[in-house]
Amino acid sequence: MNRIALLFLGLFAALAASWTGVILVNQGSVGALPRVVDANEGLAFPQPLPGVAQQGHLVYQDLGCVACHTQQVRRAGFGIDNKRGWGERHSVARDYLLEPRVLIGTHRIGPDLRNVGQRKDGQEGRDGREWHYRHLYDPQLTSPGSVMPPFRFLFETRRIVGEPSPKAIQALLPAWHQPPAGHEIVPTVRAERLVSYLLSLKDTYAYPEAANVYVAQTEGQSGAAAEGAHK
Amino acid sequence: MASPSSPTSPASAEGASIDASVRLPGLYFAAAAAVWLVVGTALSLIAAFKLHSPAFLADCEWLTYGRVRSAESALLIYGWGFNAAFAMAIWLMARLAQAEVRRPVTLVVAGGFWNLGVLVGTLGVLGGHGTAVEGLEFPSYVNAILFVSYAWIAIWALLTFRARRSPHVFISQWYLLLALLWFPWVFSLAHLLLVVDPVQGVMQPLVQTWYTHSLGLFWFGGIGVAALYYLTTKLTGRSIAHYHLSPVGFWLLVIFGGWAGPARLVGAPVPAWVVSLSIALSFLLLVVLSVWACNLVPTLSRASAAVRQDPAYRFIGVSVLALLVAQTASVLLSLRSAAELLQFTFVHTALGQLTQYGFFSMAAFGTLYVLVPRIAGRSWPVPGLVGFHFWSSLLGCATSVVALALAGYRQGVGLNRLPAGDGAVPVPVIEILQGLQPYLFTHTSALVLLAAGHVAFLVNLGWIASASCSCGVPVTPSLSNASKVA
Ligand code: HEC
Repeated sequence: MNRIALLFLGLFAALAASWTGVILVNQGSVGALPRVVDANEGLAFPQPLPGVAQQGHLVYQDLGCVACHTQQVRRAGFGIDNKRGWGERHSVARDYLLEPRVLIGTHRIGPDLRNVGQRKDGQEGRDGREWHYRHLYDPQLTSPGSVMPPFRFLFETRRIVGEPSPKAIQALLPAWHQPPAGHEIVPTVRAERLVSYLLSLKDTYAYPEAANVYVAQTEGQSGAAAEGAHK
Repeated sequence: MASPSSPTSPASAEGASIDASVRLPGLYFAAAAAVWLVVGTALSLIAAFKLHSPAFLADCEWLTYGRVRSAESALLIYGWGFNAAFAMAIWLMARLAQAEVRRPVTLVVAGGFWNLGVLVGTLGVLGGHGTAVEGLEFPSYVNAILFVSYAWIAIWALLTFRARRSPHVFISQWYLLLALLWFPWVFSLAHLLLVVDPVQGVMQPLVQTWYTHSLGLFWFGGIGVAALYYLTTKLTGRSIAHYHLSPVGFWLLVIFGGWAGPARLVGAPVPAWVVSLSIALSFLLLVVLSVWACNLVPTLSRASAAVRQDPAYRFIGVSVLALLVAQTASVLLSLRSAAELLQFTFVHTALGQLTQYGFFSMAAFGTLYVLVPRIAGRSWPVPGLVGFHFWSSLLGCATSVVALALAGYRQGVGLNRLPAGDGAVPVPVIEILQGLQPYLFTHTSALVLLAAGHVAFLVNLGWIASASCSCGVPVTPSLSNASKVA
């Protein structure tokens, strides 16, 4: 009987030890990491996402985009994330402070999305919103040969009543995706939120802890980070 | 223990009454497990198919890739894995304690609630309520019901342990206790810290790897290893080689196993020291592995030629092999150079398959092939299906693991290495994926084979269970080779 008591005690002690070591200790450090207040800009970083983007984060979560996409840029020299243009700097713990559900991901079937907002900015003349709509509607349009599934259920084909919607996207689509005459294709609220979220994805603020390991892609750019530039 | 060929011996009479007490819950959990296994395999197939034909079922939101993957993973863990583990744990506990399970009907009720939770959880994930947390995919509202029904089932198993007649506590029982006691802690803590009141920032991936690693190592590992020890002695009729080493392996696992989770986060934006510590401690798990190998491999290899023909023996043998390979690989993969190349690739999918399927599911099949005829009191209606199930599992699992591992290696090289030559640019992601198509296609074919085996298993099981339930009087089982099991 004594040995059994010992067994129970041992199990409990081991569990408590790993819990303390892995979780509790870190909870006191990274778990309590504060935001950085930038005196020059009078702002605290990271900045909260706009409301629509936060709602878009939920769409990203519920559609399981994390099954194929990571959101963590590895440091230069550890893989080639920087050479792929997946981020100007690697991700640091502080980048994720305000996210209700941190989806750093474990699979890279598609590219890392941590800075996709910045990558698509300026694509096709606008902020990239149109690019994302086309891509979500049919990835083959923007990325022939992609295995990313189409998300057409995030769009609605409906009869035009009165004025056509300014949000309609069929003008961006090729002939074989055109709706029947008198109809238009509009993104649903969820698609709008999701794309707002994707556009918001950019870690550009150079935190002190990111500065000393910042490796610029080309020489001469590295100064910007050390000055804590916020682009 | 005496063999059933001497049915008058007291030990066997006792064994029969113990088996009879497990009949209802054992058959219930085995059948539920098999049903979820078939459903889960169907979901795996859909997901795998989508990776070469992304337009397949694309307009059905419920079956979009991300949700199917989540549902599949949760279903194979909480549906197939847990039900099988419950059947194994209860039967092993009763057998080793030489005590009947009291009021077995209550276990079926608790199991009913568990499976209701699994059903609602799976539909919840497909409907978009999932958490997107690996290992805890079900919507938060089902975790409470899972917890309560789990506690109920575990307490029943512990009560059986308490009522034990055998004075000796075998190593299998240690592992069972480890699994039964460890799971509720990690499950409730992970649920609280990730779902109810999520911790801040990158603490979430830390808690998550701590949980999934514990789940694999202590819950599935504990139940699986308990079954391997038990069946190894029972099937071969020999005692465990170097048995005196087994406590060393057990305690090293208990003390250091819980730390090894964050090794999965090499290179992630979490404190580097936890990851380094975790990698260092995970090397101690190699000692645990050596102990398992010393105990199990020599004992199994001394089996007689007749025993080697037994499907249960074969399942157990494959399971031991997969356990040793998978655990070694998982330690090696956390090394920085390996992680740099292979961290986010299909190599980890392959490793998961080898651990969950090669080790645990094989151990579960082996146990169920011994357990079910004993408790149902009749032999398998279609013995040919048992052999078919074994070969399809072995070939399917091996093919899929190899295909995924090769795919992952190529993927890693493509993602993380620049092609040779001056001014080379990284290979575009789309091109990398196109290069993987033959491997992914092989993986899908392997899943078809696995699915066929699972259907065979379900048919056989459904047949034996319904026969056993419709005529209550058990007849003496005539299991040809597994007759070594008392
Ligand atoms: C089956 C895996 C898979 C799933 C699921 C998936 N993606 Fe993708 N994604 C890819 C692949 C492969 C690419 C690269 C080819 C391309 O651009 O389509 C990609 C590319 C992207 C890109 C462009 C990135 C760049 O740098 O050009 C964005 C944005 C994106 N995905 C967003 C999403 C969102 C949002 C979801 C969830 C609604 C999602 N993905 C789900 C595989 C996937």
